[in-house]
Parts: sequence; C-alpha cells; structure tokens
Amino acid sequence: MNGSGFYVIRPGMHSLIQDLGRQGCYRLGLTTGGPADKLSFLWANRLCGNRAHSAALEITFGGMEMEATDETRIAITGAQAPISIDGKPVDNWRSHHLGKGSRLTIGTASRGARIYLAVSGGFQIPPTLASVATVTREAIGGLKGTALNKGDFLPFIPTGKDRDFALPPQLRPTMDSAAPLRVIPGWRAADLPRALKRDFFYRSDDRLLSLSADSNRMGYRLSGEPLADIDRIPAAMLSEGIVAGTVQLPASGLPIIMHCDHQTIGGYPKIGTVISTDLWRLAQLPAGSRIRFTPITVANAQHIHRQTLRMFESTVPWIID
Amino acid sequence: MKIAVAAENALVIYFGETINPDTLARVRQAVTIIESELEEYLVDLIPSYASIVIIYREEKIRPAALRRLLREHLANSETVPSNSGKRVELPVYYSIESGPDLQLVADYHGIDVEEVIHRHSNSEYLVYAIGFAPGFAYLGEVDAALATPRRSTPRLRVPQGSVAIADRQTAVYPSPSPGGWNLIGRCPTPMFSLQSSPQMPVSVGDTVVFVPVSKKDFIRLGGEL
Repeated sequence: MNGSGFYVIRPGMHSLIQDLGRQGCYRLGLTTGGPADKLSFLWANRLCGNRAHSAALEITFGGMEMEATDETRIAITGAQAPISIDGKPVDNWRSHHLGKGSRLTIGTASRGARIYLAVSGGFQIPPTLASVATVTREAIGGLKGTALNKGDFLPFIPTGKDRDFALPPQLRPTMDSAAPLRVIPGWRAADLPRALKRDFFYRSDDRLLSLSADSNRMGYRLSGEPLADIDRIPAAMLSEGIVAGTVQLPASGLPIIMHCDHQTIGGYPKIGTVISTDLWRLAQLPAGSRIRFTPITVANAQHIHRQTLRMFESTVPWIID
Repeated sequence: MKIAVAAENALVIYFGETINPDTLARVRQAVTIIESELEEYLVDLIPSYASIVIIYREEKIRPAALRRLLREHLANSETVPSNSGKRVELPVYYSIESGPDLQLVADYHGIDVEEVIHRHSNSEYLVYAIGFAPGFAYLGEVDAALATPRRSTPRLRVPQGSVAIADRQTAVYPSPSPGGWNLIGRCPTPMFSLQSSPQMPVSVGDTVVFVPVSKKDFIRLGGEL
C-alpha cells in the first residue's frame, strides 16, 4: 500500500472498520457484523464515490483524531459531531479533500450515537471470509479483530482534489426520532400470553420501556417495568436461530432487541422482529430513550425497506465545486 | 412441520419440540433439500435442534411463495431417514488440572472421577447445533448419570479447548470465552480456525467420540495448559 493511509492519533471510544457485513457464515456460528446504521454508512460511501460494500469506519460517540499521510477524500455522516480539518471546522454529510499531512478531528457526538467515515476507494484492508467487518466478540475483521487503537494505520489509495458532494439536511436520516419501532410478530408469538403481547405493543405513554445504557451492537436492552404475564410464558424452549432485530424475552420481562452483532443461536422466547430500517434508527438513539413498539405486516415491512433503499438510490447528492 | 415468520426476509421452520436424533435427521435432510432446490432464493440458513431459520432474498421471492415451495419440497421428506454424518474422534486430557470441575461433577452424582471419564468417553454424541460463538458445537446427549446443571456464576474466562458439560449437553470451547458449563477436560484439536478448510472439524449431524489421552499426548497433539 506504499504507505498511504491514516495514522490513528486518538481512536475514540469504540471505532470499528465495517463493510456491509459477513454474509453466509451463520453455520460456523459467525454473525454478520456490518454497520449498525446502514443508511448513514451507505451515504458515507456514496458521498465518497465508493461502492456500497467499501470498508469505512463506524465511530461510536466520536472523540477521534487521525493524520493522513497522503492526499485523499473523506465523507462523514451519521450522528452530529463537531469535525475539523487542520483545526478548521467543517460540515458533516459531505465530502472533503484532505491534503498530505492533514489532521482530521471528530468531537463528541451530540445528536445520534454513531458517526460514519468513508475514504475514497475504501480502506484497503484484507478481508476475512469475504468481509472486513469487525466483530470484537469473535476477534474477527478490521485490523486485528479489535476496535481501533492508538497508532493503528488505516491504508487508503491516494486521490487528488476533485468535486465534493453533499447531502442536504432535509434528505438526511433523522437521528433522534421518537417514532415507534415497528415489529413483525413472528416466531412462536402465537403461544405467548395475550396480556404480554398487549403490554408489549400497547403500553401507556407513562409506562414506556427505555433503552438501557447496557446496550451495544450485539443487543439493545430495555429497562423499566417488566412485561405483564412474563412468568406465564411456556417454559423450556429449544435454542433456535436468531436474526438481527429479533426481540427476545428473558425471564426478567425486559425485552432485548438483537442487533448487527447478534449471536446466531438463542434460547429465549421471541415475540417478533424489528424491521431493518428501524434497527438503523435505533442504532442512533441515546440510552434512556423511550421505546414504543407497533406491529407491522411482512408486506409493509418489505415495502418500507424497498422504499428506503429506492430513495437512497434515486437521491442525487449536491455537487460542491 | 410448522412454518412461521422470523423477519421481513426470514422464515423459520419448526420440526418438533424435543431434542432427539430423528428430529435432527429431519432438520439435516431439510437443509440439504433447501440448499439444492431453493438455492437461488437463499442468503443463509441457521439449523438448530429442531428448527431452521431461512434468510431469503426478499427481492427474488415473496414469503407466501417461499412457504409454498418449502411445503412442496419438504412434504415428501417426512419419513426418509437422513444419511449419517461423519464420525469425528476428539482426544481429551481428562484431569483436575485440565478440567477444574471434574471432581464437582463426580461428587454431584456420588461417583468417582474415573467413572465420569469412562461415561463421558464411552458415548457417541450427535452435533445438534453450531452457534453461540464461532465453532461452538452443541453435542448431545450426555449420559443421564453425568447431567450436571450450569454453574450458578459463570466463569469470566474458560480456556480454549475446555471440554464441558451442561445438563445433558457437552461441548468443546473453541476459543477462550466466558462460560457457565462444568469443565472436565481439555481437547487439543482446534475447533475453529479461519486458516483451515473446512474451518471446523465437525458439522451438524456428525457423530463425535471423545478419546481419553495422557497429558503427554495432549501436549504432543498441540494442547496447552
């Protein structure tokens, strides 16, 4: 890679190399990984002129500083955070040219939790099982299967100055939406007590569950008043496969929403699965957010997914000369 | 056989409610059929004890059509016993040194350590599922006389290769991880390696036999204490 890349000066709290994830490995017990907020990730690569699967960074909560050893172009999307290049504040949701020796600083995220940073051509990192997605629990992907560390070097292919692209504010995904998470009832939800399901979907505003600080890319935990009739769930379930979005109901009566680093097999009863676009939104919500669930059909869920991707594909970013 | 929705791009098929070789045989046979007949619609499959999660290409097929195809293809498979998987021998150094709960398991059942080793290594185990962690194979069923509940407080770090029992399941920890199973020995065979092909020595439906080895052989086979 002849030495072009970023030196990590401050790695931030939890910064991960990601692409769209490691597909087709569930039978080895490997999860997919990939960006928690896929839409913001897609936009970061798009604003850099990259392919969708290109390796980019997911920076949780910000606090990162890097130095470019060569010319390149970057784009930053996702959570709102102060960004500066060589000490000069710049906007997010657009691309920027970086000169040789430029220093990029990303402050602490204020709205949203996850920031995405793409580099022109994508970070040049050898894949493991066809993906560079970092899953720290599995010690796979990224540079050494871990979050970024101080002193890490992230190679890129140098790029000269070119036109920059931006996404206008009204077209960006919202970072703190209070809209309910849409859940497709499924698995063996038919066997669950009716009062439990009613409580899950139609709880009154003053009793809503909230996001626990104990949440991560593996799963989002909820806290608050346990679901009604949780002790009436039929006992002894065989472990079965789980997917991103699956809502598990442990005996505590506090649901866990499995996310992009979910384990492949789990034994808790399940009530349904959060739709993909709402999982991306969930990834940006701060701890303490009130969570409301609402049921949705598979057909509507698929429609929303298609529409969201179609919107992404048909939206033309602004050109900045 | 029952098919349910698992996600906007996933279905789950249930074949039964219990752990037994017949149900597993149906799961395995269904996996083979789905892979050969419906490959163009598949993203991935997660087989487990009595179910298969099917993640499909939602742009290629509607869930109702996929359900119909699954019923069609799997309807005739109800009675055909699946061909057996391969037989894999895994060496184990059983000792207090390599299996700190060996005495606890013996005491729990009022038998001696030798009896635990004898019973554990004189059974054939089926690989029922792979999951939890890369390469973690759920093996069953353990002799009822050895069934031991999980530890009330899980260990923060179980060493790689640890051979463990939880209720009537047994497994080899493929990498160091937290874990609540009872440790009775150590296996030197790598259970998961990205550099190997295949990455795992076992797959669902295989038969595993544990072969007791001495400390010397354990070390010679690459084991570490």
